[in-house]
Amino acid sequence: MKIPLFFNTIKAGFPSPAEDFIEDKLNLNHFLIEHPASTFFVKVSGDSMINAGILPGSILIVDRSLDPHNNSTVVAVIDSEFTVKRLGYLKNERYLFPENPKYKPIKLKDSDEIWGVVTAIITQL
Amino acid sequence: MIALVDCNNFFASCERAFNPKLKDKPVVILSSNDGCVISRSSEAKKYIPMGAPAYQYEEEFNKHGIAVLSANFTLYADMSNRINKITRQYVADIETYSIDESFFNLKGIPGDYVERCRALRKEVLKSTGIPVSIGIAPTKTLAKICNHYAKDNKDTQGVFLWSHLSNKDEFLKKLPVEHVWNVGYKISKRLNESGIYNTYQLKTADYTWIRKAFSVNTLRTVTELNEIPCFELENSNGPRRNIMSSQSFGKSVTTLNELEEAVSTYTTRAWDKLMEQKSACGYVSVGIRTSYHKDMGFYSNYYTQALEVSTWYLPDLIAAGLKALKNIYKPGFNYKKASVFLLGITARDQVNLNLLNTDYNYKKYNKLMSVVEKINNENGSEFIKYASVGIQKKWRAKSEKRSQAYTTKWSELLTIN
Repeated sequence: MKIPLFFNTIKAGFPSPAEDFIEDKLNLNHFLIEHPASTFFVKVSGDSMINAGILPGSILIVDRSLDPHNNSTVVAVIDSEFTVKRLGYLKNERYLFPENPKYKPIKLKDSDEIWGVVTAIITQL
Repeated sequence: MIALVDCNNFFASCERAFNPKLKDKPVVILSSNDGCVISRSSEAKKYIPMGAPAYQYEEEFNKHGIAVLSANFTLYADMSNRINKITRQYVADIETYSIDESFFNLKGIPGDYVERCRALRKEVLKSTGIPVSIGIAPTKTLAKICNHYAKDNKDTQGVFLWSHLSNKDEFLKKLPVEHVWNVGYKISKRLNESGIYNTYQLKTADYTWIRKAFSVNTLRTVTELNEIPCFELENSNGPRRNIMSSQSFGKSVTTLNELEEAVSTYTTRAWDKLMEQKSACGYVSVGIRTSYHKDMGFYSNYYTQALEVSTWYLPDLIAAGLKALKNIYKPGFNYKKASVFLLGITARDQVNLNLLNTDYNYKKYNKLMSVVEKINNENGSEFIKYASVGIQKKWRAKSEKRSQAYTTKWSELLTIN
């Protein structure tokens, strides 16, 4: 006959006073992604947005369904290349502004496209 | 009212969404093993026919600067799910017909149908980068026709309603019968032999004759051309009744060992689908064949192995698959393709316990399988796997020009400056 070592279903003492207050665990997806169908992750390789906290190696959460506003951080397509910059206006013209004094603002052409709006930055330390 | 939303040149459009250099350029996508063309951007259509074998068209690809890519089904499936998700925000009653087409019912949708569908189209394009066309009509068959009309005519802005067609009969007279949904090559050939070439002739054909000379299905098509719905929306969320995983190899395979790896791998893929729909299966059927080049010796065979009990326990499915394979394997052939079918699919609560196997430990096996499924869902397929699927998989299909799994793998994200 085998005798179990522990009867671990029997609990002694008082029940935990926190038991009734247990909620779901924190879910980063729910916190960071409002529109899953239109949200994409992209990885940054350059340093043009360093002063906005976007470092080489950062991962951006990009929502394509959002409309970009003045000062939105956006992923844009310039001359068939992706880039992340801040969208802004200069004398009524649309520009992409880097957040690094090393780089110059880029004037948006009609053929350029705003691909999506950056909603969060993931940077691992 | 039924609407059909269909993605324009879907595979090529998915590639463009992540690679702006492909915009306005001719693009073709090759099937697994880079065999033949399975999708073309509109710019490529005038140079390359659908299904063109890649090796015969290399000169054409170069001459016209055509971008050639291997199919990236992981990406296409993810983009398809996204488009479905957006569509479901607009309508409740929806049938996913294929990876790039869905029918949905507009009954009870408030507002103007065309305006609603234009809004849907705009949202899909903005959110995913994929252009879609939408045809709206009283029947599925006509919705399909309207969809083509929307695609071919830019002034429709991608959405076309059947009742907006000014002269329907004149339009149908110009539409060859082989372009009608569910009228395949065989039926259209026989219709032509009876003097029916255009869709107006088919629409006005005698019902009794159609029923007699063809089938009830063809009669349904004719009825649908007359604006009477016969094909209901099918609930595509129901479980599949058989599951297949099949792929040709990247090289000729001769040894039993390599075939065993392939059969184990395909069984695992089929099992993924079985788990997803929470079913059990009763039989594993395995097919193998050589290439069709007769000079190398042709052999093709299949064998169906019954399981002792209906189950979803992967080791038992793999064992049955390998047993079936041993039954049909003959040395001395260059094998090109293997297929695995799971048959006798039932809901798990309907599994008939085989009296001889009352000690089949469903509870334990279920627990193990659920854990394997969960781990692989979180970490990628084959994150944990049975050793028989092999590690090097030298037989694996070639896809040398595949783009990244931009949306499903952290290591393959789109990189931007």
